[in-house]
Amino acid sequence: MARAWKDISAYLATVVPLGLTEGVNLFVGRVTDEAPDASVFCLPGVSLPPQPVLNGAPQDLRFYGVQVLVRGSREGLEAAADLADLVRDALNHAKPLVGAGPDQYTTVELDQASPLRLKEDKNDRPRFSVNVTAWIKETNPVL
Amino acid sequence: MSKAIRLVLKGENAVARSLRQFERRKLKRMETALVAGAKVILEDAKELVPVDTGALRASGVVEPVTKDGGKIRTGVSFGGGGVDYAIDVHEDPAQEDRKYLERAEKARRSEVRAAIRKEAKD
Repeated sequence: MARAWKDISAYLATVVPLGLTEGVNLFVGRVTDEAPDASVFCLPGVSLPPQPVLNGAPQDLRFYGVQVLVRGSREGLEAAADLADLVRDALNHAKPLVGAGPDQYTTVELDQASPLRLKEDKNDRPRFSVNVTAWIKETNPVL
Repeated sequence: MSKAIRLVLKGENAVARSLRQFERRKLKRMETALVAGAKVILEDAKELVPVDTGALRASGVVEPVTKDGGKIRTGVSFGGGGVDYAIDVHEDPAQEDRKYLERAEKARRSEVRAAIRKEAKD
């Protein structure tokens, strides 16, 4: 079963202009206190119910929601906004690039046109939220 | 020598009027189903939204219907007025009950679509 937020993170790490490295300024699964101020977090979002694939195979089309949270340093609003836009642009072209072989996603779709600006966190760090839905065909392990 | 054939349709205005009425009634039924679906999503979201003062919960509304040609739109929204933190609560990973509206919408999406589709077909 796919872990789309991990796959999206792995993809973002390959997009050179973003300058993201997993474990350094790119984190998966949760927002950690140890992360630098300017960091990106790939988090599970809200998923739609799966739909059976009508091709005779025991497959489902699954729709995984992923939230990418972009956080900047206290004085880094512009830089954070720019990075959030770049993340949005990278995800907008992510369809053929996330996953590989049978684990390749058929679609990665932006949920909003632009990153959502959130209020600063408790340490006055600017934050932006980018949401996507990743589609993938998966064999149903129960059937 | 050629023979002509001619078909004359009479009462086309009545037929067109009848078709327009049928179309209007169908659109009205679809609008009713759309608004009913939006209300269901709103009620579900109100169950999910975190409550502190209750202002965020109370700010949830079904937006007025707009029509543009054959397109009918409505929306469900939270925030506005004195409530300027609806997006923050919705998107903040520190919030346990974040994504309250998105969860409600995604859980009900296929049901609402099916209800609207049914009205479009009938």
